[in-house]
Amino acid sequence: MVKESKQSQFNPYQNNGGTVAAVALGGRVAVGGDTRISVGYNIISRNYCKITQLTSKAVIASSGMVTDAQNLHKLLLARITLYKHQHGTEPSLKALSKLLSITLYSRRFFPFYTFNLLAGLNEEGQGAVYGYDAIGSFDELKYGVQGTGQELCMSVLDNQCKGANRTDDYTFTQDPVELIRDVFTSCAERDIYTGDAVTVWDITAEGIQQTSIPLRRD
Amino acid sequence: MALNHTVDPIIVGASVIAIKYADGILMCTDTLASFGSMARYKNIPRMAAIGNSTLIGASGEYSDFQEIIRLLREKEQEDFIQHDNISLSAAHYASYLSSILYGKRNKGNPLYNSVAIAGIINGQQYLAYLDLYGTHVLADYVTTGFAAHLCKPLLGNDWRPDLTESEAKQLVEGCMRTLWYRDARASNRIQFAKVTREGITFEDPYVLQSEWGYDSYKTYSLNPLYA
Repeated sequence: MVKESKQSQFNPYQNNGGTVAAVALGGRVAVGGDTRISVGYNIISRNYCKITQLTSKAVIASSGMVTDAQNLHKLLLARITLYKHQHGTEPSLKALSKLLSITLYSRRFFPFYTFNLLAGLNEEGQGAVYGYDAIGSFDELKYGVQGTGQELCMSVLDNQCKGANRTDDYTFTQDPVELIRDVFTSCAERDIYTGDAVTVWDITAEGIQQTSIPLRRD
Repeated sequence: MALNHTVDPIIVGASVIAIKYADGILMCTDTLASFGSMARYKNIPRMAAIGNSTLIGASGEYSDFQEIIRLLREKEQEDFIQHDNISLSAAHYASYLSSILYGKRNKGNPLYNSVAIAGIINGQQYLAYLDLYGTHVLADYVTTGFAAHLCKPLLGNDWRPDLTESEAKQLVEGCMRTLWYRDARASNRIQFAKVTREGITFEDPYVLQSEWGYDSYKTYSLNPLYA
């Protein structure tokens, strides 16, 4: 007979929910994240920022587990500081994309439970987005969304940014900041883990502008 | 799994409530530590001062709380020895503790607590919530344990940044009374502590006023025939 253990194993993972999205258009990229974090049906914060600025033209937005995201961001910032001291310059977006990938893969057998978007301006000054899974697989994108609301947001972004499933002659020219706000207000309508407010970071050659608008708080 | 791994807590404290108010931060716990459903230690403190501007309160495993206090006091001692007129703030202690909690959860051997850390930094209130995973969030009011369910909505309705000390105390006492009525692991013996620009003050524990004599309590029945 198999002896049943009375003790339950500690589960080190938790999904704190939330959604992050990014849209690049020309020399600009907009990154949004809602400010809610939850545990089950309990909201632990209504004003938590899921986005961290890494360099003067790159940010990381993470959903998944807050504690892993916080420590991942901290680790990246430390590595970027070392890079700046060694090279006297900020790492490029491409360098960051690889750094994030190998950092995630370094925890292949005890993953960071985080789903990340890296967004910023590349060396040509063009807006770019990189999307990752929890263990470091990544791809360069024009737009991306991660987290509990990704299914709700993705098809809208496909339609608006790529012109998917459209019969008209369409090119994407909308203000990406406005698009992200609309996508989040719609997402908050149906996803209980997304809400309270959305913070949008608008990255251009002039710098980074941060704005916030309220979402449903229920 | 090693024998010293806390996988389920043994001696546990219930809720902690901490709120910002006009002149500082008010924190409150009851003074009970339970052993399962037994009220095992009825008069123990669940809040502690670290240095002269940081207040910490915890629910969860009591021995792990004592370990947290030991670690933070050790850090405070290191800082004191520097003798440089710079002292660690609540934000520093919270960040340090968050790293400890995260490191221990990574080893599958967590410190089984939910923690509120309060302090005054450059004249501003600082209040953080930490949990056994290392999650570190700032808030205007923090509730742990059952208070997260029963008291967060009450605070959401009535909390304002400009509450006076007596208003804050009245609000939190109301929350503690709600817990006493509905949380089976709560006690009516409660203790307040506060951090202000003047420092940390612990009040003596006292027993909450409560009223059980309502007719609806006395004749309470789930059977509609007897309602």
